[in-house]
Amino acid sequence: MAFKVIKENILKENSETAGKIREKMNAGGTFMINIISSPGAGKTSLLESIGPKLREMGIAFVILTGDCFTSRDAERMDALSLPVAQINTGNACHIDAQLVGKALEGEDIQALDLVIVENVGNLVCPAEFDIGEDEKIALLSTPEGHDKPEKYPLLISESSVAVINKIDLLDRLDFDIEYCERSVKKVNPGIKIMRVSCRTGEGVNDLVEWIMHKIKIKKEKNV
Amino acid sequence: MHELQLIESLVEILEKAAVSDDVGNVEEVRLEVGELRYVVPEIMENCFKHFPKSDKLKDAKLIMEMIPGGKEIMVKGIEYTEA
Repeated sequence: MAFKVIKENILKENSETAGKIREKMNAGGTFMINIISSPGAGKTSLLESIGPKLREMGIAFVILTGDCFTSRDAERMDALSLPVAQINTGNACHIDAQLVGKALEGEDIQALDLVIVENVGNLVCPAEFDIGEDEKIALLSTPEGHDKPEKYPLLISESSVAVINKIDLLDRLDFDIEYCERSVKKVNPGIKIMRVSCRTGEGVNDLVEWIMHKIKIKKEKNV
Repeated sequence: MHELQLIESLVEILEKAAVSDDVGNVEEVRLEVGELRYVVPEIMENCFKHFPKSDKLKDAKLIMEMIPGGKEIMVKGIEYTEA
């Protein structure tokens, strides 16, 4: 019997493709975010809220929306004339770098300020695959229960912002928002937390401001 | 089912390693699996067992060492009979 040392990361190919996407984004001074949540937390609603505001501010952006089978999310955003491209992942539970690379092929990255990827609704797999984004946003929502951050620590630890959506329902639920926020900070002390209701619009501007700030920083780096 | 995609990448790496003439049959594949990858070892084993592979790899067993707090999955190496 003999032993051969290999020492190779299994996700090397994905990481390399993600690295290429990142290079392209950096060259274009384009900021890229990856929004991850469980199904029904409000990823599409969040984009319906922030999309028109970003457009009003003159931001050139494209939304890549991932879904297993339908194009329903893309249609919802299309109805608001938001620039959207659909990524159908089939049976896959996440978007990987190859899919993003392919979806971006037709885009003029140089002309874009921002790329938003709406990942497949899932708190596990999407957190594992680097797609070349600058920052991940973890979207939680009050009906899911306040114990989720501790159950899915990888997503929280990888994210820069945790958005807690559906705060308009707080008085109807047993959701302990302080507990939830404490758990988020326990996993990732540096994370920003934003309380949002896509339904009433509360808190949505905080996220828009954060994105605007990040776009500005990225542009300045590129000068 | 991200395990299937992980196994696909793993087999690709293994096929490259096993192609060398001194490798007879691969008996064991040693992996370090970061616990934060949320991999289910039984699903990994099953996917690996059924994933199409060359003859050199067909009887190989996956030996997974779980790494607390780890985020990566590393192929450490292969144990094989010399050709």
